[in-house]
Amino acid sequence: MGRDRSPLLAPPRVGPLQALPWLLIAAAYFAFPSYLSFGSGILIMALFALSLDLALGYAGILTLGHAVFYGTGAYAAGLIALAGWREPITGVLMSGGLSAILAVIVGILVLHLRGLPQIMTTLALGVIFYEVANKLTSVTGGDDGLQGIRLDPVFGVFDWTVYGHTAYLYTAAWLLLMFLVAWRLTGSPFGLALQGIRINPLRMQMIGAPIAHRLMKVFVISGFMAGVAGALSAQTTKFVGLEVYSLNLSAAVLVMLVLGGLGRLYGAFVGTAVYMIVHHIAAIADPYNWMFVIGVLLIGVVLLARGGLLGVADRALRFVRRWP
Amino acid sequence: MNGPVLEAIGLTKRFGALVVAQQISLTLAPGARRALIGPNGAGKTTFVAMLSGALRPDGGTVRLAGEDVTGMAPHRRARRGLARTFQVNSQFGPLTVLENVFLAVSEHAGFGGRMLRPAASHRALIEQAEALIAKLDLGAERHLPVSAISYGKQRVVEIALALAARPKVLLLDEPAAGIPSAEAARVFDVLEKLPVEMAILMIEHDMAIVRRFAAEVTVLVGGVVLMSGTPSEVLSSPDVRRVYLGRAEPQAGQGAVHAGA
Repeated sequence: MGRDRSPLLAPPRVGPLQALPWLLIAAAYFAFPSYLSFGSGILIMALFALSLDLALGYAGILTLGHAVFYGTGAYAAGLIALAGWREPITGVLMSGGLSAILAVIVGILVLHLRGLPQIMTTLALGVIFYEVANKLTSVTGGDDGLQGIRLDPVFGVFDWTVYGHTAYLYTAAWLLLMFLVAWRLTGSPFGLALQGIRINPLRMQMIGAPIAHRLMKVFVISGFMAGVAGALSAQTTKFVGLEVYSLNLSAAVLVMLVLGGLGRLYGAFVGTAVYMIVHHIAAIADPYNWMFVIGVLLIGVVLLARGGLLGVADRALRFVRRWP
Repeated sequence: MNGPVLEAIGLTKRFGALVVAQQISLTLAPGARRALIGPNGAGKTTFVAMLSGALRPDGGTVRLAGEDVTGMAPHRRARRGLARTFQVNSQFGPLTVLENVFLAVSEHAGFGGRMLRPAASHRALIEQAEALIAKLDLGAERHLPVSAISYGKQRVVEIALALAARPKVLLLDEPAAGIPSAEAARVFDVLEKLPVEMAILMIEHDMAIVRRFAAEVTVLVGGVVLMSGTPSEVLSSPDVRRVYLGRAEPQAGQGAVHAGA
Protein backbone atom coordinates (compact mmCIF):
# COMPACT_ATOMS: atom_id res chain seq x y z
CA MET A 1 0.00 0.00 0.00
CA GLY A 2 3.03 2.26 -0.31
CA ARG A 3 2.05 5.76 -1.30
CA ASP A 4 4.25 8.78 -1.29
CA ARG A 5 1.58 11.42 -1.18
CA SER A 6 -1.88 12.25 0.03
CA PRO A 7 -3.80 12.57 -3.22
CA LEU A 8 -6.33 15.08 -1.93
CA LEU A 9 -3.56 17.40 -0.78
CA ALA A 10 -1.40 17.01 -3.87
CA PRO A 11 -1.35 19.95 -6.26
CA PRO A 12 -3.94 19.48 -9.00
CA ARG A 13 -2.32 18.56 -12.27
CA VAL A 14 -3.56 18.19 -15.78
CA GLY A 15 -2.02 15.17 -17.48
CA PRO A 16 -2.92 13.36 -20.69
CA LEU A 17 -5.51 11.29 -18.81
CA GLN A 18 -7.29 14.41 -17.61
CA ALA A 19 -7.33 15.81 -21.14
CA LEU A 20 -8.51 12.59 -22.79
CA PRO A 21 -12.29 13.02 -22.28
CA TRP A 22 -12.17 16.48 -23.83
CA LEU A 23 -10.11 15.29 -26.77
CA LEU A 24 -12.69 12.57 -27.34
CA ILE A 25 -15.53 15.08 -27.16
CA ALA A 26 -13.73 17.22 -29.73
CA ALA A 27 -12.87 14.23 -31.92
CA ALA A 28 -16.47 12.99 -31.87
CA TYR A 29 -17.56 16.32 -33.33
CA PHE A 30 -15.53 15.65 -36.45
CA ALA A 31 -15.81 11.86 -36.56
CA PHE A 32 -19.59 11.50 -36.18
CA PRO A 33 -21.19 14.53 -37.86
CA SER A 34 -24.48 12.68 -38.30
CA TYR A 35 -24.71 11.75 -34.60
CA LEU A 36 -24.33 15.21 -33.10
CA SER A 37 -27.81 15.32 -31.56
CA PHE A 38 -27.13 12.01 -29.90
CA GLY A 39 -23.76 13.39 -28.80
CA SER A 40 -25.39 16.47 -27.27
CA GLY A 41 -27.72 14.13 -25.38
CA ILE A 42 -24.72 12.29 -23.91
CA LEU A 43 -23.04 15.56 -22.88
CA ILE A 44 -26.22 16.78 -21.19
CA MET A 45 -26.66 13.55 -19.26
CA ALA A 46 -22.98 13.66 -18.33
CA LEU A 47 -23.56 17.11 -16.82
CA PHE A 48 -26.61 15.81 -14.98
CA ALA A 49 -24.60 12.86 -13.65
CA LEU A 50 -21.80 15.25 -12.67
CA SER A 51 -24.27 17.27 -10.60
CA LEU A 52 -25.36 14.07 -8.87
CA ASP A 53 -21.73 13.14 -8.23
CA LEU A 54 -21.24 16.31 -6.19
CA ALA A 55 -24.25 15.56 -4.00
CA LEU A 56 -23.96 11.77 -3.79
CA GLY A 57 -20.40 10.83 -4.68
CA TYR A 58 -18.73 13.53 -2.58
CA ALA A 59 -21.19 14.63 0.09
CA GLY A 60 -23.03 11.31 0.40
CA ILE A 61 -26.53 12.75 -0.06
CA LEU A 62 -28.67 9.79 -1.11
CA THR A 63 -31.15 11.04 -3.66
CA LEU A 64 -33.48 9.24 -6.01
CA GLY A 65 -35.21 12.44 -7.02
CA HIS A 66 -32.53 14.49 -8.69
CA ALA A 67 -34.76 14.82 -11.75
CA VAL A 68 -36.78 17.49 -9.93
CA PHE A 69 -33.89 19.89 -10.56
CA TYR A 70 -33.28 18.71 -14.10
CA GLY A 71 -36.99 18.88 -14.91
CA THR A 72 -37.45 22.30 -13.34
CA GLY A 73 -34.48 23.61 -15.33
CA ALA A 74 -35.92 22.13 -18.52
CA TYR A 75 -39.42 23.54 -18.06
CA ALA A 76 -38.01 26.89 -16.96
CA ALA A 77 -35.83 27.15 -20.07
CA GLY A 78 -38.72 26.12 -22.29
CA LEU A 79 -41.15 28.57 -20.70
CA ILE A 80 -38.63 31.41 -20.72
CA ALA A 81 -38.07 30.90 -24.47
CA LEU A 82 -41.79 30.58 -25.17
CA ALA A 83 -42.42 33.77 -23.22
CA GLY A 84 -40.20 35.55 -25.71
CA TRP A 85 -36.84 35.65 -23.94
CA ARG A 86 -34.82 33.90 -26.64
CA GLU A 87 -31.25 34.61 -25.60
CA PRO A 88 -30.02 31.10 -24.74
CA ILE A 89 -27.18 31.74 -22.25
CA THR A 90 -29.12 33.94 -19.86
CA GLY A 91 -31.99 31.48 -20.32
CA VAL A 92 -29.78 28.68 -18.99
CA LEU A 93 -28.54 30.80 -16.09
CA MET A 94 -32.07 31.75 -15.05
CA SER A 95 -33.24 28.14 -15.30
CA GLY A 96 -30.27 26.90 -13.26
CA GLY A 97 -30.94 29.63 -10.73
CA LEU A 98 -34.53 28.51 -10.34
CA SER A 99 -33.37 24.93 -9.74
CA ALA A 100 -30.88 26.24 -7.18
CA ILE A 101 -33.69 27.99 -5.30
CA LEU A 102 -35.71 24.79 -5.46
CA ALA A 103 -32.68 22.96 -4.02
CA VAL A 104 -32.83 25.19 -0.94
CA ILE A 105 -36.43 24.14 -0.32
CA VAL A 106 -35.82 20.45 -1.06
CA GLY A 107 -32.64 20.65 0.99
CA ILE A 108 -34.52 21.85 4.05
CA LEU A 109 -36.74 18.77 3.71
CA VAL A 110 -34.16 16.08 3.03
CA LEU A 111 -30.68 17.10 4.19
CA HIS A 112 -31.25 16.39 7.87
CA LEU A 113 -32.20 12.82 6.91
CA ARG A 114 -29.82 9.98 6.21
CA GLY A 115 -30.02 6.54 4.64
CA LEU A 116 -33.36 5.04 3.70
CA PRO A 117 -35.57 7.95 4.90
CA GLN A 118 -33.52 10.28 2.69
CA ILE A 119 -33.91 7.99 -0.34
CA MET A 120 -37.64 7.61 0.23
CA THR A 121 -38.25 11.34 0.73
CA THR A 122 -36.36 12.34 -2.42
CA LEU A 123 -38.14 9.60 -4.35
CA ALA A 124 -41.54 10.80 -3.11
CA LEU A 125 -40.70 14.39 -4.04
CA GLY A 126 -39.79 13.22 -7.54
CA VAL A 127 -43.14 11.46 -7.90
CA ILE A 128 -45.01 14.53 -6.63
CA PHE A 129 -43.26 16.80 -9.13
CA TYR A 130 -44.11 14.44 -11.96
CA GLU A 131 -47.75 14.31 -10.99
CA VAL A 132 -48.04 18.06 -10.50
CA ALA A 133 -46.45 18.68 -13.90
CA ASN A 134 -48.84 16.15 -15.38
CA LYS A 135 -51.90 17.92 -13.93
CA LEU A 136 -50.69 21.46 -14.58
CA THR A 137 -51.30 21.24 -18.31
CA SER A 138 -51.77 24.99 -18.72
CA VAL A 139 -48.11 25.49 -17.77
CA THR A 140 -46.38 22.28 -18.81
CA GLY A 141 -48.49 21.22 -21.74
CA GLY A 142 -49.15 17.94 -19.95
CA ASP A 143 -48.58 14.93 -22.17
CA ASP A 144 -48.00 17.14 -25.20
CA GLY A 145 -45.13 18.93 -23.51
CA LEU A 146 -43.73 22.29 -24.52
CA GLN A 147 -43.33 22.66 -28.25
CA GLY A 148 -42.31 25.38 -30.64
CA ILE A 149 -39.34 26.61 -28.60
CA ARG A 150 -37.27 29.06 -30.60
CA LEU A 151 -33.98 30.64 -29.63
CA ASP A 152 -31.69 33.39 -30.82
CA PRO A 153 -28.29 32.37 -32.20
CA VAL A 154 -25.60 31.77 -29.56
CA PHE A 155 -23.74 35.06 -28.96
CA GLY A 156 -26.05 36.39 -31.69
CA VAL A 157 -23.79 34.67 -34.24
CA PHE A 158 -24.04 30.86 -34.23
CA ASP A 159 -27.40 29.79 -35.52
CA TRP A 160 -29.01 26.52 -34.38
CA THR A 161 -28.48 24.17 -37.33
CA VAL A 162 -30.59 21.14 -38.16
CA TYR A 163 -27.58 18.88 -37.80
CA GLY A 164 -26.86 20.09 -34.30
CA HIS A 165 -23.36 21.52 -34.76
CA THR A 166 -24.10 24.54 -32.63
CA ALA A 167 -26.04 22.52 -30.08
CA TYR A 168 -23.14 20.08 -29.64
CA LEU A 169 -20.47 22.73 -29.17
CA TYR A 170 -22.75 24.86 -27.00
CA THR A 171 -23.47 21.87 -24.75
CA ALA A 172 -19.80 20.88 -24.64
CA ALA A 173 -18.87 24.42 -23.59
CA TRP A 174 -21.38 24.36 -20.72
CA LEU A 175 -20.15 20.95 -19.67
CA LEU A 176 -16.54 22.17 -19.64
CA LEU A 177 -17.47 25.24 -17.61
CA MET A 178 -19.45 23.25 -15.06
CA PHE A 179 -16.74 20.59 -14.89
CA LEU A 180 -14.13 23.23 -14.08
CA VAL A 181 -16.34 24.52 -11.27
CA ALA A 182 -16.83 20.99 -9.91
CA TRP A 183 -13.12 20.21 -10.25
CA ARG A 184 -12.09 23.35 -8.43
CA LEU A 185 -14.66 22.79 -5.73
CA THR A 186 -13.83 19.15 -5.05
CA GLY A 187 -10.12 19.90 -4.72
CA SER A 188 -10.70 22.68 -2.20
CA PRO A 189 -10.84 22.43 1.60
CA PHE A 190 -14.62 22.53 1.16
CA GLY A 191 -14.48 19.50 -1.15
CA LEU A 192 -12.36 17.63 1.35
CA ALA A 193 -14.79 18.56 4.13
CA LEU A 194 -17.64 17.13 2.02
CA GLN A 195 -15.81 13.82 1.89
CA GLY A 196 -15.34 14.02 5.63
CA ILE A 197 -19.08 14.53 6.07
CA ARG A 198 -19.84 11.55 3.84
CA ILE A 199 -17.39 9.28 5.65
CA ASN A 200 -18.08 10.32 9.24
CA PRO A 201 -20.58 13.13 9.84
CA LEU A 202 -20.47 12.79 13.63
CA ARG A 203 -16.72 13.28 13.75
CA MET A 204 -16.94 16.21 11.34
CA GLN A 205 -19.29 17.91 13.80
CA MET A 206 -16.92 17.22 16.64
CA ILE A 207 -14.03 18.86 14.82
CA GLY A 208 -16.18 21.95 14.37
CA ALA A 209 -17.81 21.62 10.95
CA PRO A 210 -21.33 23.04 10.49
CA ILE A 211 -22.42 20.06 8.42
CA ALA A 212 -26.00 21.18 7.72
CA HIS A 213 -24.66 24.38 6.18
CA ARG A 214 -22.03 22.56 4.12
CA LEU A 215 -24.55 20.05 2.78
CA MET A 216 -26.94 22.83 1.82
CA LYS A 217 -24.18 24.62 -0.06
CA VAL A 218 -23.22 21.63 -2.18
CA PHE A 219 -26.87 20.66 -2.71
CA VAL A 220 -27.63 24.10 -4.12
CA ILE A 221 -24.61 23.96 -6.43
CA SER A 222 -25.63 20.46 -7.52
CA GLY A 223 -29.22 21.61 -8.06
CA PHE A 224 -27.98 24.50 -10.18
CA MET A 225 -25.92 22.17 -12.39
CA ALA A 226 -28.80 19.73 -12.77
CA GLY A 227 -31.01 22.67 -13.74
CA VAL A 228 -28.45 23.77 -16.31
CA ALA A 229 -28.45 20.24 -17.76
CA GLY A 230 -32.25 20.29 -17.98
CA ALA A 231 -32.22 23.73 -19.59
CA LEU A 232 -29.70 22.54 -22.17
CA SER A 233 -31.94 19.62 -23.04
CA ALA A 234 -34.88 21.99 -23.58
CA GLN A 235 -32.78 24.34 -25.71
CA THR A 236 -31.06 21.72 -27.85
CA THR A 237 -34.08 19.49 -28.51
CA LYS A 238 -36.53 22.44 -28.63
CA PHE A 239 -38.93 20.30 -26.64
CA VAL A 240 -39.76 19.57 -23.00
CA GLY A 241 -41.82 16.51 -22.10
CA LEU A 242 -43.01 15.10 -18.80
CA GLU A 243 -40.22 12.51 -18.74
CA VAL A 244 -37.82 15.23 -17.52
CA TYR A 245 -39.47 14.74 -14.11
CA SER A 246 -39.74 10.96 -14.33
CA LEU A 247 -38.50 8.54 -11.73
CA ASN A 248 -36.91 6.69 -14.64
CA LEU A 249 -34.63 9.61 -15.29
CA SER A 250 -33.59 9.91 -11.62
CA ALA A 251 -32.82 6.20 -11.58
CA ALA A 252 -31.03 6.22 -14.93
CA VAL A 253 -28.68 9.03 -13.95
CA LEU A 254 -27.85 7.17 -10.74
CA VAL A 255 -27.11 4.01 -12.72
CA MET A 256 -24.88 5.97 -15.10
CA LEU A 257 -22.94 7.49 -12.23
CA VAL A 258 -22.47 4.21 -10.37
CA LEU A 259 -21.47 2.54 -13.63
CA GLY A 260 -18.75 5.11 -14.26
CA GLY A 261 -17.63 5.46 -10.65
CA LEU A 262 -18.77 7.63 -7.75
CA GLY A 263 -16.81 10.56 -6.41
CA ARG A 264 -14.35 11.03 -9.26
CA LEU A 265 -16.11 13.53 -11.58
CA TYR A 266 -15.06 11.75 -14.78
CA GLY A 267 -17.07 8.73 -13.66
CA ALA A 268 -20.11 10.74 -14.70
CA PHE A 269 -18.67 11.09 -18.21
CA VAL A 270 -17.63 7.47 -18.66
CA GLY A 271 -20.79 5.99 -17.14
CA THR A 272 -23.09 8.19 -19.21
CA ALA A 273 -21.25 7.55 -22.46
CA VAL A 274 -21.13 3.78 -21.93
CA TYR A 275 -24.76 3.62 -20.81
CA MET A 276 -26.10 5.66 -23.70
CA ILE A 277 -23.94 4.07 -26.39
CA VAL A 278 -24.71 0.54 -25.17
CA HIS A 279 -28.36 1.51 -25.02
CA HIS A 280 -28.21 2.87 -28.56
CA ILE A 281 -26.57 -0.23 -30.02
CA ALA A 282 -28.58 -2.73 -27.98
CA ALA A 283 -31.83 -0.97 -28.85
CA ILE A 284 -31.07 -1.37 -32.55
CA ALA A 285 -30.50 -5.09 -32.04
CA ASP A 286 -33.52 -5.55 -29.79
CA PRO A 287 -35.71 -2.53 -29.06
CA TYR A 288 -37.54 -4.21 -26.18
CA ASN A 289 -34.82 -5.82 -24.14
CA TRP A 290 -31.94 -3.34 -24.27
CA MET A 291 -32.17 -2.78 -20.53
CA PHE A 292 -30.99 -6.37 -20.10
CA VAL A 293 -27.50 -5.46 -21.32
CA ILE A 294 -27.32 -2.43 -19.03
CA GLY A 295 -28.55 -4.58 -16.13
CA VAL A 296 -25.85 -7.19 -16.65
CA LEU A 297 -23.21 -4.47 -16.98
CA LEU A 298 -24.34 -2.78 -13.77
CA ILE A 299 -24.43 -6.03 -11.80
CA GLY A 300 -20.96 -6.85 -13.06
CA VAL A 301 -19.62 -3.46 -12.04
CA VAL A 302 -21.26 -3.44 -8.61
CA LEU A 303 -20.26 -7.02 -7.78
CA LEU A 304 -16.82 -7.22 -9.29
CA ALA A 305 -15.48 -3.72 -9.74
CA ARG A 306 -15.48 -1.36 -6.83
CA GLY A 307 -15.24 2.21 -7.99
CA GLY A 308 -17.14 1.63 -11.24
CA LEU A 309 -15.57 1.43 -14.69
CA LEU A 310 -13.01 4.10 -13.74
CA GLY A 311 -12.07 2.03 -10.70
CA VAL A 312 -11.37 -0.87 -13.06
CA ALA A 313 -9.37 1.42 -15.32
CA ASP A 314 -7.37 2.65 -12.32
CA ARG A 315 -6.38 -0.83 -11.28
CA ALA A 316 -5.59 -1.87 -14.85
CA LEU A 317 -3.38 1.17 -15.24
CA ARG A 318 -1.54 0.49 -11.99
CA PHE A 319 -1.05 -3.12 -13.10
CA VAL A 320 0.38 -2.06 -16.45
CA ARG A 321 2.70 0.49 -14.85
CA ARG A 322 4.30 -2.18 -12.66
CA TRP A 323 5.54 -3.95 -15.76
CA PRO A 324 8.62 -2.20 -17.01
CA MET B 1 -8.11 33.02 32.78
CA ASN B 2 -8.33 31.76 36.34
CA GLY B 3 -11.90 30.49 36.60
CA PRO B 4 -12.88 26.97 35.63
CA VAL B 5 -12.72 26.35 31.90
CA LEU B 6 -15.48 23.76 31.96
CA GLU B 7 -18.37 23.61 34.42
CA ALA B 8 -21.14 21.05 34.48
CA ILE B 9 -23.82 22.04 36.97
CA GLY B 10 -26.56 19.58 37.93
CA LEU B 11 -26.69 17.76 34.60
CA THR B 12 -29.64 15.40 34.42
CA LYS B 13 -30.74 13.07 31.64
CA ARG B 14 -33.71 10.72 31.53
CA PHE B 15 -34.70 8.20 28.89
CA GLY B 16 -38.35 7.65 29.71
CA ALA B 17 -38.51 6.55 33.33
CA LEU B 18 -34.83 5.66 33.37
CA VAL B 19 -32.63 8.33 34.92
CA VAL B 20 -29.14 7.86 33.47
CA ALA B 21 -27.63 11.04 34.86
CA GLN B 22 -28.81 12.77 37.97
CA GLN B 23 -27.53 16.15 39.10
CA ILE B 24 -23.98 15.54 37.94
CA SER B 25 -21.71 18.47 38.70
CA LEU B 26 -18.06 18.71 37.82
CA THR B 27 -15.60 21.49 37.08
CA LEU B 28 -12.31 21.51 35.26
CA ALA B 29 -9.72 24.22 35.86
CA PRO B 30 -7.13 24.99 33.18
CA GLY B 31 -4.53 22.25 33.31
CA ALA B 32 -6.82 19.80 35.11
CA ARG B 33 -6.09 16.10 34.77
CA ARG B 34 -9.24 14.38 35.90
CA ALA B 35 -10.33 10.79 35.39
CA LEU B 36 -13.96 9.76 35.29
CA ILE B 37 -14.43 6.18 36.42
CA GLY B 38 -17.37 3.95 37.18
CA PRO B 39 -18.85 0.61 36.19
CA ASN B 40 -20.56 0.17 32.84
CA GLY B 41 -23.94 1.84 32.79
CA ALA B 42 -22.79 4.44 35.32
CA GLY B 43 -23.63 7.22 32.87
CA LYS B 44 -20.09 8.22 31.84
CA THR B 45 -20.80 8.16 28.13
CA THR B 46 -24.10 10.00 28.60
CA PHE B 47 -22.34 12.62 30.67
CA VAL B 48 -19.64 13.19 28.06
CA ALA B 49 -22.30 13.30 25.32
CA MET B 50 -24.03 16.10 27.24
CA LEU B 51 -20.76 17.98 27.59
CA SER B 52 -19.93 17.68 23.88
CA GLY B 53 -23.46 18.50 22.75
CA ALA B 54 -24.44 15.18 21.19
CA LEU B 55 -27.15 14.81 23.86
CA ARG B 56 -29.28 17.57 25.28
CA PRO B 57 -29.65 17.40 29.05
CA ASP B 58 -33.11 17.47 30.65
CA GLY B 59 -31.76 19.69 33.37
CA GLY B 60 -28.61 21.51 34.36
CA THR B 61 -26.08 23.78 32.72
CA VAL B 62 -22.82 23.39 30.83
CA ARG B 63 -20.44 26.34 30.82
CA LEU B 64 -17.41 26.54 28.58
CA ALA B 65 -14.95 29.25 29.58
CA GLY B 66 -17.76 30.97 31.45
CA GLU B 67 -20.23 30.88 28.56
CA ASP B 68 -23.46 28.90 28.81
CA VAL B 69 -23.30 26.33 26.00
CA THR B 70 -26.03 23.98 27.26
CA GLY B 71 -28.17 24.20 24.13
CA MET B 72 -25.36 24.84 21.68
CA ALA B 73 -24.70 22.58 18.68
CA PRO B 74 -21.62 20.32 18.93
CA HIS B 75 -19.70 22.07 16.15
CA ARG B 76 -20.07 25.44 17.88
CA ARG B 77 -18.74 24.03 21.13
CA ALA B 78 -15.87 22.53 19.18
CA ARG B 79 -15.06 25.95 17.77
CA ARG B 80 -15.09 27.39 21.26
CA GLY B 81 -12.41 24.99 22.39
CA LEU B 82 -14.08 21.74 23.39
CA ALA B 83 -12.69 18.63 21.71
CA ARG B 84 -13.35 14.97 22.29
CA THR B 85 -12.07 11.59 21.22
CA PHE B 86 -14.11 8.42 20.88
CA GLN B 87 -13.74 5.08 22.60
CA VAL B 88 -14.20 3.33 19.27
CA ASN B 89 -11.96 4.85 16.62
CA SER B 90 -13.96 7.42 14.72
CA GLN B 91 -11.93 8.83 11.88
CA PHE B 92 -12.03 9.21 8.12
CA GLY B 93 -10.81 5.71 7.25
CA PRO B 94 -10.31 5.96 3.49
CA LEU B 95 -8.42 9.26 3.77
CA THR B 96 -4.74 9.42 4.64
CA VAL B 97 -3.44 10.41 8.08
CA LEU B 98 -2.38 13.77 6.68
CA GLU B 99 -5.77 14.36 5.06
CA ASN B 100 -7.47 13.43 8.34
CA VAL B 101 -5.44 15.90 10.35
CA PHE B 102 -5.74 18.52 7.61
CA LEU B 103 -9.53 18.29 7.86
CA ALA B 104 -9.39 19.05 11.56
CA VAL B 105 -6.82 21.85 11.15
CA SER B 106 -8.80 23.38 8.31
CA GLU B 107 -12.06 23.36 10.27
CA HIS B 108 -10.34 24.91 13.26
CA ALA B 109 -8.92 27.67 11.09
CA GLY B 110 -12.38 28.28 9.63
CA PHE B 111 -11.32 27.21 6.12
CA GLY B 112 -13.63 24.21 5.79
CA GLY B 113 -16.11 26.17 3.68
CA ARG B 114 -13.57 27.62 1.26
CA MET B 115 -14.05 26.36 -2.26
CA LEU B 116 -12.04 28.63 -4.50
CA ARG B 117 -8.45 27.49 -3.96
CA PRO B 118 -7.14 23.93 -4.06
CA ALA B 119 -6.53 22.39 -0.64
CA ALA B 120 -2.93 21.81 -1.74
CA SER B 121 -2.34 25.55 -2.02
CA HIS B 122 -3.19 26.15 1.64
CA ARG B 123 0.44 25.61 2.64
CA ALA B 124 0.07 27.03 6.14
CA LEU B 125 -2.67 24.56 7.00
CA ILE B 126 -0.73 21.63 5.58
CA GLU B 127 2.38 22.66 7.51
CA GLN B 128 0.35 22.88 10.69
CA ALA B 129 -1.02 19.39 10.07
CA GLU B 130 2.47 18.07 9.26
CA ALA B 131 3.86 19.61 12.44
CA LEU B 132 1.23 17.93 14.59
CA ILE B 133 1.82 14.63 12.82
CA ALA B 134 5.57 14.90 13.42
CA LYS B 135 5.01 15.75 17.07
CA LEU B 136 2.89 12.63 17.51
CA ASP B 137 5.44 10.53 15.65
CA LEU B 138 3.10 9.57 12.82
CA GLY B 139 5.42 10.84 10.08
CA ALA B 140 6.02 7.45 8.50
CA GLU B 141 2.31 6.83 8.13
CA ARG B 142 1.19 10.23 7.01
CA HIS B 143 0.41 9.23 3.44
CA LEU B 144 -1.35 5.98 4.35
CA PRO B 145 -5.11 5.63 4.66
CA VAL B 146 -6.01 5.62 8.35
CA SER B 147 -7.84 2.33 7.84
CA ALA B 148 -4.52 0.74 6.80
CA ILE B 149 -2.40 1.61 9.86
CA SER B 150 -2.16 -0.31 13.12
CA TYR B 151 -4.83 0.04 15.77
CA GLY B 152 -2.48 1.72 18.20
CA LYS B 153 -1.53 4.33 15.64
CA GLN B 154 -5.19 4.86 14.84
CA ARG B 155 -5.66 5.67 18.53
CA VAL B 156 -2.99 8.34 18.18
CA VAL B 157 -4.74 9.76 15.08
CA GLU B 158 -7.92 9.80 17.16
CA ILE B 159 -6.16 12.13 19.60
CA ALA B 160 -4.52 14.11 16.79
CA LEU B 161 -7.94 14.99 15.34
CA ALA B 162 -8.91 16.46 18.70
CA LEU B 163 -5.60 18.26 19.26
CA ALA B 164 -5.69 19.89 15.82
CA ALA B 165 -8.34 22.24 17.17
CA ARG B 166 -5.97 23.38 19.97
CA PRO B 167 -8.75 22.80 22.50
CA LYS B 168 -9.01 24.34 25.95
CA VAL B 169 -10.85 21.25 27.14
CA LEU B 170 -10.17 17.73 25.92
CA LEU B 171 -12.53 14.85 26.65
CA LEU B 172 -10.76 11.52 26.19
CA ASP B 173 -12.99 8.46 26.03
CA GLU B 174 -10.79 5.50 26.98
CA PRO B 175 -7.82 6.64 24.95
CA ALA B 176 -5.96 3.35 25.30
CA ALA B 177 -8.94 1.05 24.81
CA GLY B 178 -8.24 -2.04 22.77
CA ILE B 179 -4.56 -1.36 22.13
CA PRO B 180 -2.19 -4.33 22.23
CA SER B 181 0.26 -3.76 25.09
CA ALA B 182 3.19 -3.50 22.67
CA GLU B 183 1.67 -0.32 21.27
CA ALA B 184 0.31 1.15 24.48
CA ALA B 185 3.52 3.06 25.13
CA ARG B 186 2.90 5.19 22.05
CA VAL B 187 -0.41 6.39 23.39
CA PHE B 188 0.98 6.95 26.90
CA ASP B 189 3.73 9.05 25.37
CA VAL B 190 1.17 11.21 23.62
CA LEU B 191 -0.92 11.58 26.78
CA GLU B 192 2.15 12.62 28.76
CA LYS B 193 3.08 15.27 26.24
CA LEU B 194 -0.32 16.97 26.10
CA PRO B 195 -0.01 20.72 26.71
CA VAL B 196 0.02 21.42 30.47
CA GLU B 197 -2.57 24.20 30.32
CA MET B 198 -5.13 21.99 28.57
CA ALA B 199 -7.94 20.77 30.84
CA ILE B 200 -8.47 17.05 30.41
CA LEU B 201 -11.29 14.76 31.42
CA MET B 202 -10.53 11.11 30.76
CA ILE B 203 -12.98 8.24 30.93
CA GLU B 204 -10.88 5.26 31.91
CA HIS B 205 -11.36 1.75 33.23
CA ASP B 206 -7.71 0.95 33.63
CA MET B 207 -6.57 1.98 37.12
CA ALA B 208 -2.91 1.87 36.11
CA ILE B 209 -3.60 4.59 33.58
CA VAL B 210 -5.70 6.55 36.05
CA ARG B 211 -2.87 6.50 38.62
CA ARG B 212 -0.36 7.51 36.02
CA PHE B 213 -2.17 10.42 34.38
CA ALA B 214 -4.90 11.69 36.67
CA ALA B 215 -4.47 14.15 39.53
CA GLU B 216 -8.15 13.93 40.45
CA VAL B 217 -10.69 11.15 40.08
CA THR B 218 -14.47 11.39 39.96
CA VAL B 219 -16.46 8.20 40.48
CA LEU B 220 -19.82 7.90 38.78
CA VAL B 221 -22.26 5.19 39.84
CA GLY B 222 -25.84 4.82 38.67
CA GLY B 223 -25.86 8.29 37.16
CA VAL B 224 -24.75 9.95 40.40
CA VAL B 225 -21.35 11.24 41.49
CA LEU B 226 -20.26 8.87 44.26
CA MET B 227 -17.13 10.78 45.21
CA SER B 228 -14.25 12.89 43.92
CA GLY B 229 -10.68 13.04 45.17
CA THR B 230 -7.08 12.17 44.48
CA PRO B 231 -6.45 8.74 42.96
CA SER B 232 -5.25 7.25 46.24
CA GLU B 233 -8.17 8.69 48.22
CA VAL B 234 -10.66 7.35 45.75
CA LEU B 235 -9.09 3.97 45.23
CA SER B 236 -8.82 3.36 48.97
CA SER B 237 -12.40 4.40 49.68
CA PRO B 238 -14.60 1.58 50.99
CA ASP B 239 -17.55 2.97 49.01
CA VAL B 240 -15.64 2.72 45.76
CA ARG B 241 -14.49 -0.77 46.61
CA ARG B 242 -18.06 -1.80 47.24
CA VAL B 243 -18.99 -0.68 43.73
CA TYR B 244 -16.38 -3.00 42.33
CA LEU B 245 -17.46 -5.78 44.70
CA GLY B 246 -16.48 -9.23 43.64
CA ARG B 247 -13.51 -7.94 41.68
CA ALA B 248 -9.93 -7.63 42.59
CA GLU B 249 -9.10 -4.62 44.67
CA PRO B 250 -8.52 -1.74 42.22
CA GLN B 251 -4.78 -1.42 42.64
CA ALA B 252 -4.08 -5.15 42.66
CA GLY B 253 -2.93 -7.31 39.78
CA GLN B 254 -1.93 -5.37 36.69
CA GLY B 255 -3.94 -2.54 38.12
CA ALA B 256 -6.89 -2.98 35.82
CA VAL B 257 -10.49 -2.92 36.85
CA HIS B 258 -12.45 -3.90 33.81
CA ALA B 259 -15.85 -3.17 35.15
CA GLY B 260 -17.89 -5.51 33.08
CA ALA B 261 -16.02 -4.50 29.97
